[in-house]
Amino acid sequence: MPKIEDNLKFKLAVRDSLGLFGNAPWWQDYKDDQGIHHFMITRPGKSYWIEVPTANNIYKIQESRSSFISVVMALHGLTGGGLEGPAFILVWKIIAQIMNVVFLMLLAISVYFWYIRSFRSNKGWLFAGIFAFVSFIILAFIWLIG
Amino acid sequence: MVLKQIHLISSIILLVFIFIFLITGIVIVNRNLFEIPGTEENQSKILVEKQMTGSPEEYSNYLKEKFGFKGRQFQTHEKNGNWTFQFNFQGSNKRITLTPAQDTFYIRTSTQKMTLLTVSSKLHHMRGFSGGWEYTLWGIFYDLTTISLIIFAITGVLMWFRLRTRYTSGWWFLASGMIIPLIMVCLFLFWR
Repeated sequence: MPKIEDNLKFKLAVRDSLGLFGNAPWWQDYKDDQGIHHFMITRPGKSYWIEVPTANNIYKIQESRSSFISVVMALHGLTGGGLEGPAFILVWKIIAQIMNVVFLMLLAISVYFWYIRSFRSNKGWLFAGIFAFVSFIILAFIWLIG
Repeated sequence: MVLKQIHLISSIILLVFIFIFLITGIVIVNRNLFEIPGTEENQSKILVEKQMTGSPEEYSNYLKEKFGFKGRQFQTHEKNGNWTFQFNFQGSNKRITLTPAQDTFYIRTSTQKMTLLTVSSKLHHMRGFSGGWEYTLWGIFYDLTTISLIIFAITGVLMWFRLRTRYTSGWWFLASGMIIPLIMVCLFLFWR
């Protein structure tokens, strides 16, 4: 490993040279009482504690796996673009974007059906109106008054 | 008929909230297209006039009034004995640290310019019930929307299932909706 002053750049360079992918959270980084640097590389499914050698170039890696359900939950945050890595991550981001638009259309179609079928009913309008109004009022209140 | 009614009611409940979350979500996913503004930080030190004798919530309200802060309030008691009081409002975070001796306030203010990206991000990530009645109400609406989302999906599938012989392509959509996320999860679990 070449000498890199910036801690984050160094950690990411170690990650890349080890053929891993994931983020390097700043709070999972410490030096033990012997002055050995430890840091974590984490991604949905796996986390790695990496021990930086002081003398040679042999890095110790301790891998831990996370549960199925934690990966399922991480898929949501993953769509936000916070993780770079293999091509399947990009594929997931594209699918998630398409699903966003599909879902928006799905909702619009459902409400359109409701609109054409129950145009004479005031109950639906009242219900939708109250819900939309209260939602926007809370939002405006939080945003403007706090 | 009942299924249709439930499906429609859940879609009406969903409409406003999901619209907000979908739009803000699209902005967040495409963050590379937007400028990410930097954060300005200021720190100051002030002598304490009134010590905390009652509950942290009461003291937080006192600080809010004293310093003219706005926004969502959080209080935490740290391991080192410090109390921290935070006030988040429109891109600004005001953090007051009260030492165990309760003689000095350390005030740190960080402000980020409000842009479409930062507003979207804050709206999209606003959750939880604490911080004031408006946030509790937001949290209740948030949960109601989530429940509606589940009902909307289940009733949608049930309605299709009744007519599955007429709309056989639905099987493909249903299967892909389950298999694609499953493949993703497996890739994360078994990828090196």
